[in-house]
Amino acid sequence: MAELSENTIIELTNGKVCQIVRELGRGGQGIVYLVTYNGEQYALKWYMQSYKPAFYANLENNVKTGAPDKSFLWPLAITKPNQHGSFGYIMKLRPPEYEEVGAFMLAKARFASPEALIEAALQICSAFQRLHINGLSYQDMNDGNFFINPNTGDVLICDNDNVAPNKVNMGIVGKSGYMAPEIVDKEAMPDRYTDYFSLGVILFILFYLNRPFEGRRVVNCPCLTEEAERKLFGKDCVFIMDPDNDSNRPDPRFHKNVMRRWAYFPRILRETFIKAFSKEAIHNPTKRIMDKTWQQILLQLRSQYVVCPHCGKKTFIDPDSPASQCVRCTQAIRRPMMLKIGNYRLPLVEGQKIYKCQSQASMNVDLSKVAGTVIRNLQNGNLGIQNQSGSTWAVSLPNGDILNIENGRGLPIVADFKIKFNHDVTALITV
Amino acid sequence: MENDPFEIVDEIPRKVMTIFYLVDTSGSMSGAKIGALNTAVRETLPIIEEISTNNPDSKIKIAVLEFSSRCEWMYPTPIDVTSFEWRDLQAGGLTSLGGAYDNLSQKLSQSHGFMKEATGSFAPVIILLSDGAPTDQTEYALDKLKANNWFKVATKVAIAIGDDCVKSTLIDFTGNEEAVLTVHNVDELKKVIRMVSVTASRVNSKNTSAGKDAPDKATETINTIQTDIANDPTLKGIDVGNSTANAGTDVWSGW
Repeated sequence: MAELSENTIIELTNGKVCQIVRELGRGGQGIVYLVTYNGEQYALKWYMQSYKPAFYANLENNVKTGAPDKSFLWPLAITKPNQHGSFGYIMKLRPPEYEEVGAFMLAKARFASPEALIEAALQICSAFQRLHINGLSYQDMNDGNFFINPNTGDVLICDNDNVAPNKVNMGIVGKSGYMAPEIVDKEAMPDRYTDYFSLGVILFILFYLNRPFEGRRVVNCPCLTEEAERKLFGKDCVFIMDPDNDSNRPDPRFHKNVMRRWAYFPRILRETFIKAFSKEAIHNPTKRIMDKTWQQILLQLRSQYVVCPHCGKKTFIDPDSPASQCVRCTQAIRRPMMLKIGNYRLPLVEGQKIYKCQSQASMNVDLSKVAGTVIRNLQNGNLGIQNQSGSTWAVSLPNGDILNIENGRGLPIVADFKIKFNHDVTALITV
Repeated sequence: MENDPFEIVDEIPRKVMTIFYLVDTSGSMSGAKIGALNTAVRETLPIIEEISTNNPDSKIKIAVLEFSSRCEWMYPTPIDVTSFEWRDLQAGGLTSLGGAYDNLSQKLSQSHGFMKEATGSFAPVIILLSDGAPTDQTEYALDKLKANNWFKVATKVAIAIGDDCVKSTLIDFTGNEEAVLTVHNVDELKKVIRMVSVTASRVNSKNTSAGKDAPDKATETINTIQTDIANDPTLKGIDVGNSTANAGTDVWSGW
């Protein structure tokens, strides 16, 4: 195995070649080089450790099947084996505006807005949902695998050489604090259920900027040895916000972010994390929150971030509460009318968007595609919903009449109006 | 807006990982050896700083103990690598390794030593560099050190500078033959200081690897060092453990 010098030409199995420009960085497994390939600049991950033939074969297979989602910095081409004693794969470069999760944890990068944060979380969940439906698992999720644009929430997921069929491990080991307890306890092999656990950890860190299992128990541990890590991150781990066990609560001296943000983000998010990291979910992998459920929760969360009618700034509101307090001006916001679509409850405030994924009850669409928007009728000052879906909605009135609302037209927001978005999805306007 | 919790963010609490350099500054180290050592550590510190600065798991501190006729810590406490200033070491005198062990034992303590950190520590890294034989009693001091819990969990690496070094002493210290590396010239010395420091920093400043085949940090560090030596043709002259393949090739002049 040798490091590669400038201008070295490496042959790929697809018959093409790449040429080394310079080193970009190195880690435990190997070195990442800037290379030219197909006349453009790419990254080459070059292994400096020996791997079994199965590792190469799996990587080759991943190249063949292609990326399950656009967020993955997927292996695009693999080098022929045994050149300069090793091999590697080609992937796209990470644009400079993307930051590692570690940069967010160290307060060096910040999301521009809660919308950008929710978008990042959604993109991560969508990427893993597509990976998992292909029968694959990621196996080694940790703070080093994600690059996020703090302004837009766009996500790139790297280190996809660990991606393998469920329960098949290519020799890559994970990182304690991120891996599922049964992996830390050396009792199980990675699969999509262990991914669900790690996904919860990453999402928790993005929202609350502290680690979900690092409370008093961890800061009070004078030396975090391997043995201590097994105890704190294995099956005996305790969620810092576990309502039934306060032994590992955040320490106000150190875990300030989660203490500030726990009440800031809506109840639905708190309740989902409590479920995701309950004792039951820690011990029973099938009780973990799946990526698809996370998508729904995040979509609901997105719709609860609305413009305050008093100060015009954005704040989260609670659809279950008769009034919510604006985080900016602290004034009470009375619960607006709601649009109930399946499990979603969208507060019908000016600017609220109804997304296609909600009106079509499908995650197989672009999650940012809008089907309708709440707008104010300039003539009478009342709120209405404008149809932007491209198809006609059938609206049933309480008296039995049916109105056809064509694309571009609007309907008034009146309690008990029912909107039929398609054959299967009907929404109800409620007080 | 100051009352919006979303706008206020603090850095996540991090553990501390301390690298101890135990440096032989006896008379035989003078000249090329101590010069190369000073240069190598100086050149390595910015790399460690980068590993520490971008690391959400821990920050790295440095502690340096020099031992000759007497023992002295470069600074009274470990210092964050971002503000650490290396003071060039001078060589002269005897090799009080036993004294160094005693000093280290005292400081590897949470209650009255170096290991008191508000958010806790990771197991430390201890790198011993020596070119000769101890001139004091080491046995009792080493027994005491080996009973120290911090020492037990530490990643220990020893660098033997030239053939005159008594390797068995260093193997006693690391408790692992493969963690003793013998160098035979200044170029190897500089490279090995950098490689060991960087690898140990990278592995030991992160949370542990998890999984069925996951190695512990000390093993992972030593394995990575072995791989690095095997991969780098310019490190071929380094002997690992009891190997004497390159014995007799010492060149310590002309630096």
